[in-house]
Amino acid sequence: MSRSSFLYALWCLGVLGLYLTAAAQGYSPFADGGRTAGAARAYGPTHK
Amino acid sequence: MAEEDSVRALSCPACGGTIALRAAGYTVTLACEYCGTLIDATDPAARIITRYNEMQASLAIPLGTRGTLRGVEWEAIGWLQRSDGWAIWDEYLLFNPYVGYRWLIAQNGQWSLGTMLTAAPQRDGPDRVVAGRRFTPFYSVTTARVTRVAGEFYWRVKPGEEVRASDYVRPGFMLSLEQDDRENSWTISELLTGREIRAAFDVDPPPVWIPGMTPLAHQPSPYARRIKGWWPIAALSFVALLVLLTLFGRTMQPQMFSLSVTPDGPTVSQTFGPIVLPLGKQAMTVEAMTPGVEQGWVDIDVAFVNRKTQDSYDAYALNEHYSGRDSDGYWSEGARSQTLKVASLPAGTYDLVVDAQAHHWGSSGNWTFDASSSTYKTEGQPPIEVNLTVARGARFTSNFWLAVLMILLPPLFMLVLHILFENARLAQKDGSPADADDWLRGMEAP
Repeated sequence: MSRSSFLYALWCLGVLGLYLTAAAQGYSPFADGGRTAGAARAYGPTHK
Repeated sequence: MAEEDSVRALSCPACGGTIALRAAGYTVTLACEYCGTLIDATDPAARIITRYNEMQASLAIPLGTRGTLRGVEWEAIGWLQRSDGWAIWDEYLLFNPYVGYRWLIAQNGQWSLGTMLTAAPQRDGPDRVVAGRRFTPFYSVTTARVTRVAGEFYWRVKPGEEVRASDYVRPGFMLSLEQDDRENSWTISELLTGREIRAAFDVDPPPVWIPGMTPLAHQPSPYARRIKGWWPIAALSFVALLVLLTLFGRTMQPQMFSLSVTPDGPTVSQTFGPIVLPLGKQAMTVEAMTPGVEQGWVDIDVAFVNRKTQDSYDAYALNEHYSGRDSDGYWSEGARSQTLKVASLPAGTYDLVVDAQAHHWGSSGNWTFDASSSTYKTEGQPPIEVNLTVARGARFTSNFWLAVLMILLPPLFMLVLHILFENARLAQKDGSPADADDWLRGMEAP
C-alpha cells in the first residue's frame, strides 16, 4: 500500500469513527429542533 | 588499472589541455572540457571541427560521472542540448562497454532513459506498437536542433545539426522518430522516478507538478495512480457506512399518544409521559400524523422536557393538505404526516409536551368574525386527530450522506487535479484535439 493510500485509508477510518461516534450519541447536525413559535411560517397552498 | 587502460588521452589542439577519451574506438567527436573546442577524435592529429568557446555550462551530471541505473553502471560521456524552437532539453549520452549506449534526457526537471530501437515499430493506423505497447501520436514533425554540445559521441555532431522529430506517447513512455537525410532512428524513452535518478546520478528530484506547470508529453498523471488506489478504499468505507447505518438507525420501544384539535379553535396543550431514556445520549423519532386534515394545516410543537432538570428539547411539525380542481384537473399538495428527529437527548425521564393548533383554509364551513384576532374563522369543522408515535433512536440519513461526501472528497479533489494535469499535458498535443480516449489513456498504468 502506497503512502498516499495509507493516508487516505486513515482519513476514511477517521470519517467512519466520526460517523460511529455521532450514531452512538444520537447526534446529527441536521436534526430537527428549536421551537418556532413566533417565527414566520408560510401557510396555505402554493398551487399556481 | 582496468579503467586506466580503457581511457585514452588526447591533447586539445586549441588549449593544450589533456582530454580523456573514454569510449575509444566508438567516439567520433569529443569536446574539450577546458575550452569547449569540438575535436574530431578519428583524426590522428585530433583536428578541430569547430570552436564553441561559450560552452561552459554547469551540467547537472558532469561528464565522466558514473552511476548505476537499472542494474547497469553507466558513464556519462557526452552532453548535448537541443531545442525545437519551443522547448529546450538536455541529452546525456551514457556508455557501458558491455551494454552500449543509452540516452538520459532531461526536460523540465524530469528525466527519461532512452534506448535506441534496432527495428522500426509496427504501424497500426496512426499509432505505433512496440512489444505490444501502443503509442499514440503526440507531436507531429518538428525540427530539433543541437544548440550546445560537449563530450564524446558516436557520430559527428556539432551545434546547428538538425533532425526531423516526431513523437508518440503512452503514459510514462515516449517513442521518438528522428530523421535526417541518411537515416531514421527510433528511440523509446521511459520516464524515471525521482528516486531512481537521484540514486544513480545524485541529481535533484523532479519537481512536484502544480497547476500552471507544463508536464511532459509522456508524463503520467501523478493523480491517476492515487485515484485508482483509493477507489477500493472508498468502496470499502461506503459498505462499512451502510452497515453502520443499518446497525445504528433502528428505532425501538415506540409509544403512541394522540390528541384532538378543532380547526380555528384554541391551541391544545397536552403532556404525555413518562418517556424513559436509560442510556447515555440518544436520538428520538416523533412521527406526527394528522390523517383528517384537509384544506388546512396543523401546527404541532413538541418538546421533550426532562423531569429532573426541566431541560427542553423542542421540534416543530407542520402538517397540511390542500386539494382542488382547476383547468388542468385535480391537484393536491402538502403532507399529512411529518417525522421529527431530535438529537442527543441525555438519559433521564421525560415528559412529551405537545402544543397543537389547527386551521382551515378555504370557503367551506360557516364563517364568523373573531374580534379578538380580527380574522374570519370557520365553525362547524370536525376536530382533527393528531397521532404521535414516539420511539427511541433515529436514522439520520443526512449523517450518512455527509460521511459519504467526506469519503469522496479526497478522490474528487484528485480527480480535479488529474483533469487539470491532463488538460495541461494534452494542450501541447498536435493534430486532433484531445478526446475521451485521451482522458482514459491518461488513467492507464505506466
